[in-house]
Amino acid sequence: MLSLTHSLRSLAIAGEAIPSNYKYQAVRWRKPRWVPKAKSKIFKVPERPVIPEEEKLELMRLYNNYRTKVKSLRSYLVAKHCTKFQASEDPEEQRRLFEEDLQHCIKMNNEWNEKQRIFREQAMTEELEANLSYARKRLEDELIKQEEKIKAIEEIVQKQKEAAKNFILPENIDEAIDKALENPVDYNFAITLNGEKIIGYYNHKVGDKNENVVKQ
Amino acid sequence: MIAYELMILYRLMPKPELRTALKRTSETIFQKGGIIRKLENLGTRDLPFKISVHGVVYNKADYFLFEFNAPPSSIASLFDEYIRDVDVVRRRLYKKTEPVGFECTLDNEMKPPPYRNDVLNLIEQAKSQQGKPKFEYNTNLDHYPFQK
Repeated sequence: MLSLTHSLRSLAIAGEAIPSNYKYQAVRWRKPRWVPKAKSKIFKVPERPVIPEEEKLELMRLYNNYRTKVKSLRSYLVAKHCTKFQASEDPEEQRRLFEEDLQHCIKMNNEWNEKQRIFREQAMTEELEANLSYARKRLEDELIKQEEKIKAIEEIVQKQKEAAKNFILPENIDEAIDKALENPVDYNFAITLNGEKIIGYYNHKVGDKNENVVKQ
Repeated sequence: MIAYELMILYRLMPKPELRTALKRTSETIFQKGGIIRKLENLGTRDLPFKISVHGVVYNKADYFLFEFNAPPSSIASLFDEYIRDVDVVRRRLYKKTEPVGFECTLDNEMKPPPYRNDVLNLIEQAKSQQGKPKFEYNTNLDHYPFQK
């Protein structure tokens, strides 16, 4: 709407071109759109500019001259530079130029394609090599891991085999019980300032307290 | 193969009776298809609190530690069976875990503060924070001209 009114104003035909029933408001950017016409100016009718007859004729002449010159200049430049008109002059020549241009374009395109092909092949080989080395490394790592796992398992088995010699079974339970009764152990210890360990809660052998053996 | 630890407390008895009680306990493990790895006597000790079982109050007990392997399915019944033995004052069953290794730093901790590792670390930390960049106003003034 704004641009419409603007262009209408610049054409100076607002009054005649717009139908009388069309709501038309000029925008002068003087106050906000929603502010109405000042109360004191509601009934003011702007005076029409009066141009003397001679001056009007002179202006019209000048304008006509100006338009004629510009029009001729435009048409001259169009005729000189527009390819559309030139093409119609010599179709064979046009075709030859077009073919030449096309050949040049194809050549250039092929060059680019060749360059890209080399680049692509190189990149693909590199990627493949990287993938292969990654896979190889993973395989090696996996093998190492498995080896380590087997080693750890064997270590456990070896340890258990070693420990199996000292297992207490129904055959040697009596011995073990006697041994345990004779050798009481005490994990409690105190530590001195020099770092010496004093083992035993009461600092004497617990098992010797035969006086404790009473019927409760 | 899961190893378990059984801490079992017997009432104070003469040695032959204690021996039979121990035998009974081990037989139960063997019956379940288990094997004993270690049997330790931790001596006769005062109980940390008086314990009342089988209608008697005990203040002292003989402490024994069994380390054994047995099928996990039999553990619950083992645990249940032991307390029905009238010679047993108390029993606890644990899964055996490997002891966690640790480094003794007592030697270092006994030193005077400026030589201790933890204090040295703190000093290092404070030093590293001193080098932090400070914001400068670049006003060529030795004071801040506005109210802060």
